[in-house]
Amino acid sequence: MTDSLMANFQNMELAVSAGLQLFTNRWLGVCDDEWSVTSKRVEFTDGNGPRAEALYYLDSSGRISKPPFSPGPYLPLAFYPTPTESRPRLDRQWLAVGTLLAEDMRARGLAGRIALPPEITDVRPWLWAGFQVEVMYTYCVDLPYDGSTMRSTIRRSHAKAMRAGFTCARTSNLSAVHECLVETEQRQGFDHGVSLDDLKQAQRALGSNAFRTYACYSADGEVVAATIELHEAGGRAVGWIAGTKTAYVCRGVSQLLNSFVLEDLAEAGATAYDFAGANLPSVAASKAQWGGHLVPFYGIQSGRIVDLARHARNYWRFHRATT
Amino acid sequence: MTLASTRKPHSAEVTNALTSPLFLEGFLEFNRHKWGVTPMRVRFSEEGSAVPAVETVYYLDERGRVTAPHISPYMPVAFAPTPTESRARLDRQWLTVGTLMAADMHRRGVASVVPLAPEVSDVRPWQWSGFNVELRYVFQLELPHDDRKADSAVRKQVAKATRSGFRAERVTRMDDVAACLSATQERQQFSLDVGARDLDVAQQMVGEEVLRAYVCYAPNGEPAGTRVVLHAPGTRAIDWLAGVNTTYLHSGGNQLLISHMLNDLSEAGATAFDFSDATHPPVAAMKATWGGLLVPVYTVDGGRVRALARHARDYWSLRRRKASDSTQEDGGT
Repeated sequence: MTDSLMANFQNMELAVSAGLQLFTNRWLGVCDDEWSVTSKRVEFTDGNGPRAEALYYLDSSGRISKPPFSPGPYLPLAFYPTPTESRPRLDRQWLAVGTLLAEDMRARGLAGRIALPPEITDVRPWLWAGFQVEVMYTYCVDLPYDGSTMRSTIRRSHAKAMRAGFTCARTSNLSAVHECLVETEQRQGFDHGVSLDDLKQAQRALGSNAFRTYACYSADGEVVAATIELHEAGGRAVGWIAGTKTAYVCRGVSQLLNSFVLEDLAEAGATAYDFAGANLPSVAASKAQWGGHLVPFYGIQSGRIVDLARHARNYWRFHRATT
Repeated sequence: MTLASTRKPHSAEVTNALTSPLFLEGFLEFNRHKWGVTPMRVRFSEEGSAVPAVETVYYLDERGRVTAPHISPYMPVAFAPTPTESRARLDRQWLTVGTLMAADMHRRGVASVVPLAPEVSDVRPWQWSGFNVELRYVFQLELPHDDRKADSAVRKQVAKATRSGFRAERVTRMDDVAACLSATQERQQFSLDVGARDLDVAQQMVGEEVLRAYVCYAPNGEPAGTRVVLHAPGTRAIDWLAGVNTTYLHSGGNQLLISHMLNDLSEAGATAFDFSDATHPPVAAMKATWGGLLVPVYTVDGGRVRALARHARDYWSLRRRKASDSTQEDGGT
């Protein structure tokens, strides 16, 4: 498994990455019309050779942002090298177009932290452009999923949920999906920032094949957990958001739903699955149980007084704790 | 073992095995002697368990804080898991013992930026302990080195230097080594603070087989370039010091030297070569031509005014560059 997945992450030989194809002209139109966010496809080339392509969302000041409704955790970004097996040539090609991209991002400015997709393992263009770079992590598994890599606790939860009559299916009932998201937000004290209308717009624009919604049902037909996945055949599917109703948190439903999702995505032609984030201890512990590979990705940020303030806060916290 | 697998802390087979020349006693003693730091071997595991465990070498300053001695490549880190193939279990084991180590470093305090060995690809224990984590890159080459992975320009340079009468060899004449190191320091305006006598002492303490010095000689016998490497059989050798005589910068002598060094290290049992810094643009461009794998290295620091000052400097520098860009754009329209 590792060979195919890790080769892509480490050698940057992936021609198309991070779901750029998901973001069609229709999607860009919806962004501009419905959300009043300027979406912009940008492309940087080095002569007739390599090419880097990205999708920006620009705020009212023209800075690159990550609006809550934009699906997936990463900046959609693709690198197209010329056909070559030579590492030195790939290195030069990436630095040539990656530097143009990073300089363009610097000129526009960032409104908050932007996560680059895990395929971008070489972030020197951003370091050299003066950005602050932060390493973050996610877990990824190859598909079809090898069930023997999961921990026995998952297997037990899965069996428990099945015995209790829970079942899973793809759904188009976005209201029920949204209810699950909201209960998780309330329980954990955060806000996804995604409304039911946002979900409807996104699904309409991307299509239900790419924007896949799944539900876990109780024996009496209630939707008790839901998840939204981004998928394109032949690529790595990415988890976006998920929620579970509070009454069903310890019933094994999210584990059952995850298993179903992995199976369905494999059947739909996804080659891998990205659990999207392993940076909080509790979340990481839960996702690690699926036996995925820990994969780094990089967050970049720049030029904002709040970033400087955060560093100052971290400094004082650390200093206070050590003295 | 592939380079990809050596990157994973979980795959290190470290129980009672040497994983890096940076663990060797002689190197610890050299750092004590030269830089006045106190080396300390530490091992962390949960109470009552031999494994999982993580081992490292601290260098402590006079206040007992963890520091990185000048020009020491990394803080070596070796992870010893229980015998398991389960990634989920390995992940948990690493987080358990890595967190013990990070918490201990936090308690002692950290007096400088400490680069963790490239094997540490998961730095969450330090992030979760409140450290500031930053990123650098190195190139790593698998050994024996496959010449076809290098740029053709490298092969041409090696051939050119050979035709011109340059020759490379392993040496114990540290005066020749120091001369080349000085040339690079003068040219690039930095100081290693290591002279020929220091290198003699280091080689005596560490041993000639471990601290391997290579020099490329010009046809007239003048030292044209040098590399000093730390090596232990069965591990990845580490590029420690390097210098090129300015006269011979474009002679191909440096490429001949590297080629000779890679062959020698391979014959001596090194499994890979750590080409060190790939973050500084001109250095990175030269090293990239050898076809190595780009590997991230994470540095940790915290509790230092300098780290905060660096963030402030980066902030203002980026703001200034943005302002400068805006001015240029305004002027051009």
